[in-house]
Amino acid sequence: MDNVKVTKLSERSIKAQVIVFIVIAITLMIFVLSFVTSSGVNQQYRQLMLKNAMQITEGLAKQAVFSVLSGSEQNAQDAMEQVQGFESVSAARILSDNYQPFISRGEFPKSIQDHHSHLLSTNISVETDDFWFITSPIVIKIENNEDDSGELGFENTQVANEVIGYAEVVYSKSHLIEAQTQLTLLIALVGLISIIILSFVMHFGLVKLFIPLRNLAVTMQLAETTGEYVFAENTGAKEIKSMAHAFNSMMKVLKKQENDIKRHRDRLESEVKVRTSELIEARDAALTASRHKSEFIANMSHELRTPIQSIIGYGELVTEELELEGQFDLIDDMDRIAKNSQRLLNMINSLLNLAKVESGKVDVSIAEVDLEGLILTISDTISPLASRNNNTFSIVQNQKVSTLQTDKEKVEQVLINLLSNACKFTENGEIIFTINNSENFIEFIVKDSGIGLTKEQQIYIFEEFRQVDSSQSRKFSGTGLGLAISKAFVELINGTIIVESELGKGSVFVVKIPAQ
Amino acid sequence: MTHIKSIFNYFFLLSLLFLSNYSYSNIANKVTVIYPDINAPYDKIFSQIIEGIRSEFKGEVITLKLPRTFDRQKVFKNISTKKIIALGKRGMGIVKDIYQEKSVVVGAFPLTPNKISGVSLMASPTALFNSLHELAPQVKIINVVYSKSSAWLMEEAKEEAKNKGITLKAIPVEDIKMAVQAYNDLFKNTKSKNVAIWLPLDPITANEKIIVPAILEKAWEKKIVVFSSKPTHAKRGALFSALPDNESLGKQLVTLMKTVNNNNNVSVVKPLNSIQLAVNLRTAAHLGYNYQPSMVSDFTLIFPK
Repeated sequence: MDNVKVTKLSERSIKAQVIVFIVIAITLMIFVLSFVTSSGVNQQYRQLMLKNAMQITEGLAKQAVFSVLSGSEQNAQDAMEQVQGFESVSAARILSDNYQPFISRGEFPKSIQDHHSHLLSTNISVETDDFWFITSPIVIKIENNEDDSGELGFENTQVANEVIGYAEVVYSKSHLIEAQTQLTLLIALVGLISIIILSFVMHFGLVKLFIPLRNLAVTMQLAETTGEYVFAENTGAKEIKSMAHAFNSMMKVLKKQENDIKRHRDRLESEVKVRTSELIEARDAALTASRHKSEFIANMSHELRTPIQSIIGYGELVTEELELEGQFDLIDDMDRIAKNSQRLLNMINSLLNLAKVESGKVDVSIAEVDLEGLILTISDTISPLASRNNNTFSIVQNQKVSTLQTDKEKVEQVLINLLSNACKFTENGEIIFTINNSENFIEFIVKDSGIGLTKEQQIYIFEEFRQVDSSQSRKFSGTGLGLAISKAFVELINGTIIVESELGKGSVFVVKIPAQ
Repeated sequence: MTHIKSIFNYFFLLSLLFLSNYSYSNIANKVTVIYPDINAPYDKIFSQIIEGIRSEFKGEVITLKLPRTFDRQKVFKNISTKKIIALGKRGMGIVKDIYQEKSVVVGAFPLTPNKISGVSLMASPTALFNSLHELAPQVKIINVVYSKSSAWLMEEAKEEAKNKGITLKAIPVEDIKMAVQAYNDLFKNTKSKNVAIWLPLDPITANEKIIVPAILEKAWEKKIVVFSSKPTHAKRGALFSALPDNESLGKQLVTLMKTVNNNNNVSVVKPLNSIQLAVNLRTAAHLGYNYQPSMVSDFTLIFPK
């Protein structure tokens, strides 16, 4: 609960907090002041009354000397009546030197009726919450004028003061208590009124003092909510004026900065527009050029295939003729022609495929594929290639399905490409072809222990016409289109292809395609 | 030659005698007045007494002022004369030790007959009764309560009362208690209006704090004449009180010194004969006395002022 209150107070305005703080301080101060004043005045009043009581008793003792000496009660009556005239005197009596009552007035409390004090000066004999019981000795005093008039007097003959009796007075504290209570109430009332008046004065004073601060806060809030650059009035106390001045300066700077930013933005926007239009033009030109290139490659590939196929066909006829004529020495040359022609045809086919992919002319024909048949075809194709570089080729089948819905030709081409690359770049190693499947995907993993790839190579390996480097290109023949075409085919059938490799330790290519 | 020698011797002896007489008379004509150094208005009393001494004494008057505290031995060394007049309580204190070696008289002190001579501050009953007769002529009975300090005046008082045809009831007491009881009885038994109470200069029977206020109050109630030997009592309500005539007192002291010297320093104490009067006219009016202006003009002090 206290925390809630504190939080609420701390969340209030500085004006409210200052007023609360000052009111609490004033209240405490006036409370302490009232308490101290009340205690002090009450103590003073008590001392005054006690002094009065002692003076009354002492006066009675002095007035009683003649009465006690003469033994005449009559002589003491006036003094007793005079003492009883005091409101607070509830009882008084005169005792002889052997404590025999000489004259008594009023009712003595039972507790002190027989109380006798052997005092040599006026003092309190008994004090209770209700009264003081004061005793004063009745003394015959030596006449000893210490002033200059004594020079004409007798020499002192009496040796000591003689106590001839006692005057006793019961002085009630009821008036004291009543007066103290009234005084305390009065001081408390004055204190309370002072607190209220001071609180009001402080409240109005502080409210007036904090008006400029509140206006400044409102202005700041307005600036925050609207986002506009509003300026505060430069009024109020020195600190508030400084704050307003600082705020206004900040607003000016922000406004200037925003104008600058707007200007820059406008210029940038115009520049971006120009650049964008230029880029669009460049892009369009590039796309047109690319399309023309693809069309050109497609056309050229098509045009190149026809004579190559003719060459291959006529080469085969020549080879058959030479075999029939027994000119075997020429057959080897013809084989070389056939082999290079076939290689040229493959290259042209690759270019044709790539051109088709880029120009979007590749058709995807999804059909049910027998997985076992696919793996068998691949195994038949790859096994001879693996043995060329003295590699071992193994197939690990973890799949739990036997068929999948996909474009068989493209999957087959991708996998053969990856495995033939593995065979090509691995010597005296091993190539492992693994097939896994999950509920929705089939995963083909081609792992080799070949030369591997660097991190940079792994980034650009799927780009067109890129082989790992020119030296490799020379060592390992190829167009550099295989992986680009593979990636394009995998993406056409909504699959993914990734590579993980370490230079000198081999590579792992993972092809993941939907099962359905 | 023998004659010439005898004549020379005669002149030589004559010269010696002359010189010794001159020296003696030079000392004999000096008196030291020892008096207290006090503030106004009381200092005036002593200056007036010294004035009286100077006017009466034919020789040189040397004054010796005593401060509140002093070295007694130094004071003794400063006293070079044989004749000493000691004034006040301090003067009395000094001469107590040397009165046997010197001619000493004491004044301005309530002296009682002892071994030292002087004029007491206690007014003479003759002077007092004369004043009483003048101011309250119908008083026929004078009551006086006395202790041993004022007892020496009673003989004179009785004699003077007898001469004036007044009854003097003198009651001896030993202490304040007895004095109070005596006064109490006195007031109880006094019904006549021709009665007066004499307050002598007595520390017991005229105790300032206990007895005087009570007596003045009761006397006022019963319209009894009170007269006193103490100057301040008139101011407090007595019909009249005696004031010393200071200059006369000075003269009286010089006269007494001559008497003492002539009687081989035999102690003589005399009451104050020359008195002036302080009269309380309000008390007088209360008692039914109305004095003529010519009479009032003779009073030294009048109360209320």
